[in-house]
Amino acid sequence: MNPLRWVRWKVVIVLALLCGLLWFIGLDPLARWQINALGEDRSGARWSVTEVGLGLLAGDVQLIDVLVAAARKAQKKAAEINAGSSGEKEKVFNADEVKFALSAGELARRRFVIDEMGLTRPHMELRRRADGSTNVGDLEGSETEWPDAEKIEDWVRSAVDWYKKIQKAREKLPTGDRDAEEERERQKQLDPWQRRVEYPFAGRPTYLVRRIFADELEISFSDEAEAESDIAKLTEGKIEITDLSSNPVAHENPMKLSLSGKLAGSPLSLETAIDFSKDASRYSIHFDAAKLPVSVVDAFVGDALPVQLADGFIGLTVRLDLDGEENLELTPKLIFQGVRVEAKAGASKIAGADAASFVKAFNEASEALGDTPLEIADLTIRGKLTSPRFEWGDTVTNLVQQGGLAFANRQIEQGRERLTKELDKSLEKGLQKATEEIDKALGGAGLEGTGLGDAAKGVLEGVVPKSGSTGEATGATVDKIKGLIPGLGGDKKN
Amino acid sequence: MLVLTWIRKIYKTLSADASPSAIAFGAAFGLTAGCVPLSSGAFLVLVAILLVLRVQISAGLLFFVLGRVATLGCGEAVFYPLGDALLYAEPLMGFWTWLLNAPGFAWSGFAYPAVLGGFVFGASVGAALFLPLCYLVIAYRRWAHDRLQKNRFFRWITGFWLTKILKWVLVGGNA
Repeated sequence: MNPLRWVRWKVVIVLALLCGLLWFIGLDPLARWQINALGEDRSGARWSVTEVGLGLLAGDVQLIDVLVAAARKAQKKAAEINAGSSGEKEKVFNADEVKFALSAGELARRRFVIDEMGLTRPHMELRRRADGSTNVGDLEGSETEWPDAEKIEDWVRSAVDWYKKIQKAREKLPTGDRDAEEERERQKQLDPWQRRVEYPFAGRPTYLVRRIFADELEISFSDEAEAESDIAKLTEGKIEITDLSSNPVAHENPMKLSLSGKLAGSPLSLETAIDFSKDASRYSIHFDAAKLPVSVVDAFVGDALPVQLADGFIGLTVRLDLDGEENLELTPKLIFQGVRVEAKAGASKIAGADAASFVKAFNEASEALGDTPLEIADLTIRGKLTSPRFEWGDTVTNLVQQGGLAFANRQIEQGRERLTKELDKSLEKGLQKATEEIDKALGGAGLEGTGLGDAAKGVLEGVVPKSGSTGEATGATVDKIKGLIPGLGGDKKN
Repeated sequence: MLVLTWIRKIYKTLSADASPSAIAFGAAFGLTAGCVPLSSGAFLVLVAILLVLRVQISAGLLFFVLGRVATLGCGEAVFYPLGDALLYAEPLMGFWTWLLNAPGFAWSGFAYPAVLGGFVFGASVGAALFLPLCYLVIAYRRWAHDRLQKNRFFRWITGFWLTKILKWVLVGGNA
């Protein structure tokens, strides 16, 4: 019997036509409907898109006007009691366009792998509530037990809570070497039709985005616990996230996030890496902000600080490395510019010193320095993230012991020495380069050995003193410069 | 009306319309489709096979219903333990790892023990019934069909005026 006669070719043709029709006419609206239907009435993240463009042959997917919102839990509860509604939606994220390409080969293996995902004009709203919860936290859906409102301090507490959440999520991740019997026992707690074997998929991620990138990112920060709820906005942001995976244990490379932009007009950069690939998870955060207004700093971490911040700007550079054991050790570099502080009510000691003495010395030094930065680079924070131990170095000890004015003068002196050294170095470098240029020029003109080179070098050395003997000469230069830089001292008029 | 049409189709199928093997294949595919969840990839493939291949669809539908009844009755008691035993059998683990990551098969739903158990149960019973069904159809056509046609009760019921009216109303004049 001819096997071709086993097939109902008319049915094949009709099915092919239906599939073709769906492909070319109806797939995009169907996908949009499906995406929006999935994103409706969920307990956590809800989403919607205005338009979907599928280029399935190439694996391209384009989503227009993406909106992600969270069902606000507190209001959801209230709504359930009062009206039976599924709760109020709170916008968390939106983007004009999200574009990515799905790997078709991996899709056939039931893996959703995206090499690159580009976001156009993304905007995020990060809202912290009075109870310490955040709107981003609501995206996960499950009920989170937040600490009592009076125990909540500020965004530091929220960050620590997020760290704990990541740690908990890590514990739930498949390790890749889990015993099949153990997995079988765990599965028995589920409904028989929902039980699924995991061992064939150990060591492979089901979802993987190799790179997410966006320019023109905006993040609005607001805090409902503050009188002025809109506290800051990050603009001109650039973000890149790499190796975002549903099974980070399987990857050699850590998940990385880099963010840069301007927070309240001050340049800021943040780089984080979360590495689950080793036995113990490792987190690394590198934060660099040049000149943040104290109002912004106060809104974010004000409650955690022992002092009340007044005018001025604060710069912060910090590199934080955490392992799974929560062993903390970091040495932040703090730069205060025109900052005034006040002791908080009930604070007897600040940075290991008497609170009143510290505030007096700090404000004196800050006033004497003017716009010149007051730098603290010898603070070390050790211990655990939840209970850090601050070890203040000589800078703060000297500030309190010497008094603000003497400390400021010492800082000015140190600044002058540093500037002198830098000038020395650059002059020496310039002299060396000029000498080389002279030698090269004379060589090119065939004038070596005529004595012209030595004469020219002699002139140069006369003009620019040699290293080591430049102290007085550059000192005079520094004095001139000092007069030009307000707050560096020297010229009392400035 | 649909049920009456379906019963008539089965009667006609048994009488002369389809080959015994097409009926047995339809029964096997229908039974297997009935034993797996409707949302699984395996179910969609089985439905596509029933539609595209020249197997007997009416027999497939009949055995699909029987499969659904079996699923409701003993899905958790039989299908799940069977699939569980197969998926966690030490010598087969390498095979399942390969198969469940293979293109296309990854969407079958066989990673769920209940789905795999249902599929294996349906396919096994369908295969076991293949030859008996073929012989049954042949035997029916050879021995029972003529006797049924000549049976007085059968002739009375098909010739009864109410049956004729019902047939005319529900199935149509040509049926």
